[in-house]
Amino acid sequence: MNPVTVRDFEKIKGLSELRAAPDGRHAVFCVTQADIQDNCYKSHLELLDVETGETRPLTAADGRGYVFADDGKSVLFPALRDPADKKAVESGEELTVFYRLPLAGGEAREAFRIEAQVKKLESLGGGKWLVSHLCDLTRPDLTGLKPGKRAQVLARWKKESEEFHVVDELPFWFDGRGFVNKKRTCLSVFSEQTGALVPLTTPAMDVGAYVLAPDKKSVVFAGNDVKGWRISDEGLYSVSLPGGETETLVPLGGQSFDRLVFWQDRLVIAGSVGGEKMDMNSSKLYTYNVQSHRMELAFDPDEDLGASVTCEASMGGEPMRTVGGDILLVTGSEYRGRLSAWKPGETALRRISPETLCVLSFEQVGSRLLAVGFTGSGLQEVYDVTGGQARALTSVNQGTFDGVPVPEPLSFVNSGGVRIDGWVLKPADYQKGKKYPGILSIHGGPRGAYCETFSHEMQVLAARGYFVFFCNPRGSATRGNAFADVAARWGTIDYDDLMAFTDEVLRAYPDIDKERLGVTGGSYGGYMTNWVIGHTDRFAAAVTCRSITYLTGFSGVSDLGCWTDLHEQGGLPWKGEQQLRDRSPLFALDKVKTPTLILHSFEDHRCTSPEAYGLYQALIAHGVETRMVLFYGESHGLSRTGQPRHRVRRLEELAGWFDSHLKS
Amino acid sequence: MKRFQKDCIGDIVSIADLTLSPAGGLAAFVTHRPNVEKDGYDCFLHTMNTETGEIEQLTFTGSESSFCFIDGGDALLFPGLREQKDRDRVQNGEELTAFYRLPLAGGEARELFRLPLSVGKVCAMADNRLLLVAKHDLSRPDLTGLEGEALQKALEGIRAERDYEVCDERPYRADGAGYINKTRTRLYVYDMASGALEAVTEPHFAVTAFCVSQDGRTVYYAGESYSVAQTFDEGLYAYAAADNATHELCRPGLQVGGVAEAGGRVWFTTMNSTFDTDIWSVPRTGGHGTLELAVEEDLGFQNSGDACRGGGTAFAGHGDYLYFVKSDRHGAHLFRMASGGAPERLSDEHVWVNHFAVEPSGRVLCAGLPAFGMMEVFAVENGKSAVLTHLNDATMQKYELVRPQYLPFDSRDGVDLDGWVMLPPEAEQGKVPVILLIHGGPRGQYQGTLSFDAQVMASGGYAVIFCNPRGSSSRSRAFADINGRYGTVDFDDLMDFVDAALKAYPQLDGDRLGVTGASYGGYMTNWMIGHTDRFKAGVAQCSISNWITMYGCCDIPWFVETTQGGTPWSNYDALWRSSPLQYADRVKTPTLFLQYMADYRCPMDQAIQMYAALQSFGVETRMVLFEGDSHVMIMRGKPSHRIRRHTEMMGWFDKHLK
Repeated sequence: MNPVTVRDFEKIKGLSELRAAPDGRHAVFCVTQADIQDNCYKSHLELLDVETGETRPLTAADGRGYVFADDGKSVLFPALRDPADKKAVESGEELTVFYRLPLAGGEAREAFRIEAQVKKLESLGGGKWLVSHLCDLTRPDLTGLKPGKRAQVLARWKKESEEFHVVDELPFWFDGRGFVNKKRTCLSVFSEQTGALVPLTTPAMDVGAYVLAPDKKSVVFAGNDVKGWRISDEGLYSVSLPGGETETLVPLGGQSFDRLVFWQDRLVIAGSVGGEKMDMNSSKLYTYNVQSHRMELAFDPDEDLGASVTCEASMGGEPMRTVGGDILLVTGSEYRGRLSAWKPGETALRRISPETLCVLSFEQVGSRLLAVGFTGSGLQEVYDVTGGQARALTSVNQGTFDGVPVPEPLSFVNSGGVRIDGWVLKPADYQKGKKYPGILSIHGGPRGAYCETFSHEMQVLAARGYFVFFCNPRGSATRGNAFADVAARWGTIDYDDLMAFTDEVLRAYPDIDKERLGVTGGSYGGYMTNWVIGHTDRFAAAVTCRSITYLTGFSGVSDLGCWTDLHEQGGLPWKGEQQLRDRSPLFALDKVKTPTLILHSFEDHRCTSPEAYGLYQALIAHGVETRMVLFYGESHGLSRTGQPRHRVRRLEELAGWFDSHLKS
Repeated sequence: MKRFQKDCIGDIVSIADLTLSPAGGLAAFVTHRPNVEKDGYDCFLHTMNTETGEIEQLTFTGSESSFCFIDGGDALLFPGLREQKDRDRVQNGEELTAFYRLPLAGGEARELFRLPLSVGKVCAMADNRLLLVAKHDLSRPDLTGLEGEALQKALEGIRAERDYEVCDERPYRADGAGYINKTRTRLYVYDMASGALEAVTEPHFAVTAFCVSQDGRTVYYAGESYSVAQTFDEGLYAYAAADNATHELCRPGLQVGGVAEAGGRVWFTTMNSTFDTDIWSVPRTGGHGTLELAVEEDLGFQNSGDACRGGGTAFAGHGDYLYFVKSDRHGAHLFRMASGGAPERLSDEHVWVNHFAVEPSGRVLCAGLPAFGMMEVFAVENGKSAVLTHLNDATMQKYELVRPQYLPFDSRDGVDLDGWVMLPPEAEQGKVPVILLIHGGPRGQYQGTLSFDAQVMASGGYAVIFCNPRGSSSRSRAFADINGRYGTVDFDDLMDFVDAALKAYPQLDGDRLGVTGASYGGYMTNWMIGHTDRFKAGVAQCSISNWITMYGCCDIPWFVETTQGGTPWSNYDALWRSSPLQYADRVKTPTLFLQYMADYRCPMDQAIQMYAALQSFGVETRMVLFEGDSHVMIMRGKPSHRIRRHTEMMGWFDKHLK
């Protein structure tokens, strides 16, 4: 078995967009992989026979964002295969070209083109499509302009918007998307016959979750048409098709409609509705009667919607859908994504996937229920979970990392009587009796969660001879809302759990050299790394990634905005500022002894770069050995979806820092 | 005659790097002029007859800004990259500077030699030598001897590295220079006859100031060697070019701003963290430094304006005398002094001196501003200043310009202060809206000179008022010192000035007051809107709102420590008390924020925090972030950016004050 290297993340395949083909026998899914040489991600579609488990590739490249064509015999996917189309988009034209690929055979050819930046297509039948697309309200009106003048006006607007960023909303930037001021997600109807794109929503409306009514005669959507400070405010609206009036179902307010599905004659909503304050609790389930406008809290599952665990190449997916007479949903429970069934009136979730499988997404294909997920310390596959089993249908990731160490569980009960789950990954070349350095890894969130799945970064460290240990302290996901609640208490009980866990690990694994411990984490995990180095000297090296240093500065600049401060930190600069000061790692940095590497992306709009600069300045001013590496063109998601070459560099820096400080 | 509008900035010509020819009778300088069409700056080399003031333009590409006389004055030498293939090589990762010789008798410039260095400035020395000022990058791999594939691979690595900024020192970035981790200003001496290149300073040494001796054979320089953090514990050194030998003269132990040689001594300035300056001298052979002058006011051309771009020598030796520019509350003047003597003022009130060149006769050519006008070259002799050039006469005739009227006033605690009021033509018809301008620094200074920024405002029908509150420069050290008191006496003085102006000029409409400023002026704008509702509109330019993150992100954190009384650990309360963000919940004034994304002095997050706060309180607000601009955008930014700044600023005032 070859040791896992920094570049090996290239071998990992992510599976997404699992959808049943109309024949009920096949499914299509998307496979995505990093390509370090070409410094990009490559995707293609595969066709799966759910009976035999056979797969065959459909597209050679592209495929993300595909839909089934009306005839059920082909898939449509967006791509820019024509250099002229690429050039047009680069010059500022809004264009999405859809290609049609027959499932039976033959290459793809252009099906139609929509003059918009399409996010999602949904069939309305009869050659009509419900389209969600990005709009820029500052874009000049180009209708009627001759090509030469059009190009000129477009070029001038594009240059200006790239040189001067006008901001009059909040949020004005969003991690991974750049400046979003006056940008909206809009809903329109596209006609294949006429090529016309007819707007359904008003220009001011920024659409969030939406769902097509079962009769395809209306769309219910969540949205915000005011902006200003009301970052997380949403209202619920309905618009009739082909292009009617918008009706306000629930006026704009401090609520969120995260997911919408129709079930029988009712709308089922996952979100937080009706309360005045937003909290960080998991989505509750509501039923809403579109005719009577009656909203009722149906059930609070006390579980995060979606898998909520950290894993490789996680591509997301719809966590809630109506299937037959039930609503199926993926929720996080006990460091797993679990697939459950529920319907209004019930007060419990019916688990339908086994405990051994961590479900990321699901799809009903004919009589079979499929899921994308992983078992144990493995990577993603498509599973058949019909009848509560977990039978792998694909083997896209099988065998890639055979023989690597497997994390061993280590749970303990903390001083508050609460069980904390954790794991220890031994060095790849572990020999009992020899001493090894160890690294504490802290997940983000704080409402994230580790499980024992394959982690490339951890395996790289294990291959280099480190113990890696990690846990889910209080604040983590998949243990319910009470466990996850650390609002206004960052750096208290969470820190205590992490230190207690470290003590437990050292007791259980005496071969870990406590003089050679490292600590690392990203985002909230970076906040915690910054907190740790200011409150204990037990770690001999630290690597802090996309972190938070000073809560006041962070909240004023982050795309999460002031809202985060109020609800998560319990204070604002004008009211309760002492609270922000007490919970900010910055103010303990004068006591740091731990050599610390700082990794941060310039275009991180979640935890912005001033957090890194402030940390760096504090450490240098106090004579602490430090190094900061800043990445151009990267956002908060550098370690997961950043340019492959940058991910390589990041891992080299991280592992290199520990090597130079923890190895004798 | 038309009014001076924002798109007229192309008419502003500045004079920089005024230098005398060793042959006598001739001087050369560079003009800087915004070129609105090509959205850049034209920098042209000119020569000037020192008797008649007649000017001849020598270069026309617009790219030359550093030069020196060589060959006894027969030619000019300037560094650059005139060939596209050379620019491509630098883009590819190589370091390269070509040097061009422009004969003054006639003919185009031709390349004389080239070096694998990034040279920004060249100075003439004796014996056919040149002093080169280069940027040395310690993180670059050594390419010497590499060829073919090995070289290409190394260059590929250099290019790949551009995706990252690795920081392991302080400072790691500097406003206007970008990320500078592991780079140093390094001196070299080049022998034009033999082609020999010698490094004067070692790779880790950062040069802060230098000069060439009057006999051209020695380089005197100051700076420090560091590998993790710059300490400002600088040393002063002499490098004898002929011997390639260095010796230490003394240890100033502070930041050195300028070095000169006069009367057998080496003169240097030191500056402490509160910007107090001392002038010292030490024997040419080394020894103890003698304090020659503890400057009460401020050295240099202290003028918060936009009419002078580029600069030049403002501290130099000639014969036995040190010549220097020192400002007082009324202007920037030329002085000279001998060791042990008192400074003697040479220029009169007809010129505000930006920089100068001393002629053998003792007459001094000065580039500067008249009391109200644009840059020209003046001759200063026998205590009198006479203008020599007429570069900007046409512009002065072309526009209807508003002259500032001097308004001295007393603060509420009896301190006499200087202020000015500019009345637009509309003031003759009735009441006019008013814009209060606040200069930066705070150790900066207005004088009643011509500022195009203010002209654009007046052209828009606004009265423009500005003053020098406590904290300003060039009065005394005590006057400049408001450390720990930001937002107190400075704020009071400014409000007292507003009252004085309204009282003295009834045409000023006190119900239509706007406020704006940049840097400290932006800080004060943020402070004002949180402490008074008198202003109906505010424009905070590259402002400050939170001293805690300023300490963390500003390229000169020592400034925060000194002016606010500590660090986030030693004195959090003081830093927070004087942070405008704390008072954002009281703001009513509609406020526009203009902030520059490559500003490392007052970084972007300062405006964003304040903007987000105002949004959360429902105050009308807008922010414009300028891509690629640094803190000194008003002078260095692309013309289209400067014009956009005016558009935004005046648009905001028009919306709220008219």
